[in-house]
Amino acid sequence: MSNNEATLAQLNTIFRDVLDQPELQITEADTQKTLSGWDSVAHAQLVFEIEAVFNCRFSTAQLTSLRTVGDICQALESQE
Amino acid sequence: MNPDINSLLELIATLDQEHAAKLKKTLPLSNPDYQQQSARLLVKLSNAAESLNIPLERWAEDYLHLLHEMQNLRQPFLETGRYPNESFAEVEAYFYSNPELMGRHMRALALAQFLWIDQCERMRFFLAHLIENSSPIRRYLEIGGGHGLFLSEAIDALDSKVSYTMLDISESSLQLARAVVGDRPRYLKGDVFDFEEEGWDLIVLGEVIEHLEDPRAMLKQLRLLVAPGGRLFLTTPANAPMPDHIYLFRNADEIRSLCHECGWKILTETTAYSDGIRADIAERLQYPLMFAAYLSPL
Repeated sequence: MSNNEATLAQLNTIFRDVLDQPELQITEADTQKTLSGWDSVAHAQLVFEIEAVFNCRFSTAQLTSLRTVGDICQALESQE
Repeated sequence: MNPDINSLLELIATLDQEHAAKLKKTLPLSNPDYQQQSARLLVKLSNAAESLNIPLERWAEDYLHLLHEMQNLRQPFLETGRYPNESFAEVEAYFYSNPELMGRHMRALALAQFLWIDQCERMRFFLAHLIENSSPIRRYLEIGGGHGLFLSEAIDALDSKVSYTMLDISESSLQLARAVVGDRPRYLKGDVFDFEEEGWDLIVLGEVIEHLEDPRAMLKQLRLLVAPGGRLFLTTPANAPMPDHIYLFRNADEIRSLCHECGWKILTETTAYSDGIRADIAERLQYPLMFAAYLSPL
């Protein structure tokens, strides 16, 4: 499993928990429009959980650009 | 029969199921205080809907339209760090003087008063501290009273001898407020900078200064109008892009500083983030913040 796939798998677990959708399968192309329940409340929870699980802290600039799952993957990569 | 909060949420679900689900998740529907407050306000709006002959379905549509507008404004706000409009004259020309747009906007905000957690807190705080900040009170002035729900709640809570005046630049707001509040207050259409009556024991200025290019001028003007020992109830948001918001506050400290600079002392205050999101995350995500305070002249 590549780093990217591992990151996506971890994100998938977080998205399933926060959005309460146990069968959810996210892709990097997913956005707030394509994923049901990814609203402002869920977004705040997602940021909180992702920072905790990946032990990181997004910058203000990164936070304003987290619009897709791919954006989150990219922001996480830049933390490494 | 008057609709309750659950029937309103069902109505919203027929128009936008996902948003209704979010409301059910975030609103304190089992809290007795919330149940009472929302029921009281909803009765007032239902009566107004009937007298204006605009069914609540239309109000719900207006509310959802505003939500979509706000969602569309959010990303540009995050990217530019600015509100969409910066000129009062432009907003007045296309917005305040457009009865259709203003009517929709005010009906949307009236529902938001008990559908948004931060707005619920604004009303809760207003009523919780109203008596201690308005005693003795004889003259109550509300500027930019919008949908009239604060004025109506004040009338219900205060002594029957109090006289009430609502001053607003929008005829649509005055019309809606009349339908919500009734004939008890005096309604004036006009600009506070042309208003010379002094000696107000309580001035209510809710969600107004963010609509101005220069909120300092407004806060200084109110120093001239307030009675000795009088109070100001002020609310305004930070980081809240809306079609008619002009002046951008970045955080509560900027609001506090402005009040102090204009000669007002904060006696008690509250803040709340939209959707009740925890403060540390909401601040970093630049989610809208509601600030409300009772103030006295320094």
